[in-house]
Amino acid sequence: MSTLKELIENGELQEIEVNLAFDEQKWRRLYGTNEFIKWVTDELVNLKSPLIGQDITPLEQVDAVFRDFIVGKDMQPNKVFKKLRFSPEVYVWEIRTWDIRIFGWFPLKDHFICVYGDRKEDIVTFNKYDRYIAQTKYFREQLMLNEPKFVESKKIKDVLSIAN
Amino acid sequence: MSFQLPIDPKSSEAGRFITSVHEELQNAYIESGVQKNKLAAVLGCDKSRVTRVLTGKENLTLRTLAEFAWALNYKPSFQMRKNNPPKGCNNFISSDAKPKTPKSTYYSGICNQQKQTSSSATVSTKIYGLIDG
Repeated sequence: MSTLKELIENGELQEIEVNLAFDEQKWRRLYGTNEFIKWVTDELVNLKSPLIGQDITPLEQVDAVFRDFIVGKDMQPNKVFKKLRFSPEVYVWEIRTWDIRIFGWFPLKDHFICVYGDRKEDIVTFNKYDRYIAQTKYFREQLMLNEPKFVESKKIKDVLSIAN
Repeated sequence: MSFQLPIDPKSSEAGRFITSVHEELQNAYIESGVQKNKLAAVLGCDKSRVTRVLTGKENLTLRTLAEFAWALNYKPSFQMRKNNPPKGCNNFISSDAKPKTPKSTYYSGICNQQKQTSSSATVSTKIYGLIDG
């Protein structure tokens, strides 16, 4: 069994970085599986928004939500659109943008591991929600991460703190 | 091992700004307590359009933003400010004091970003409530 740091050193996970402004600092940490990183570099970078007239690409949406996550912003600032949502039963969470859903979990408070990403349109059309949640759970079970492997809570305040 | 999201600074700045404007509008909508059907009636449009705009499913033009702000009894404001780090800030890099070897990946990222965006400006939008003055 390994720590998060050891999994990164072994190349099983990668820490995800985004550009931060001079007045921004890291508050939380994001990690990605190799499969997730491959999806970002092979697919996400080429995706277009399916929404007519939308002038923000899926990659830009993900950059914005990752930046909000990393600098410690409130991920559910209002009820209109939640950037982070709990998927029931198995402590899998999803980071959400208008066009993209990213499934993963919190191994520690303020640390999120991205496992799968896909277009919201495809997930809804082909009813992939349950599959991604099950696959994320399976990946977590197989990962040689020290127990407890995840924060066992459905409350956002237990998995995230908000930067001052 | 770390992975830098492959996005150029221009796209990143645009995406973050557009997202923040939408969030500001959503916050104003929630804070106002106005119902969608009432908002649609004031704006003279369908409730479905109000939903599309609020949830980011429709491109937000300046006119749409201004009209929604008016209907919610808010006043939008827009300002641009220089994006240069202030002198004395940890990341301040003067032309004659650039480090020869970056101390860390994070610092290196910041250096690169400053090079690319040193002449750009930061833009921000706020929607202020008229009721509270």
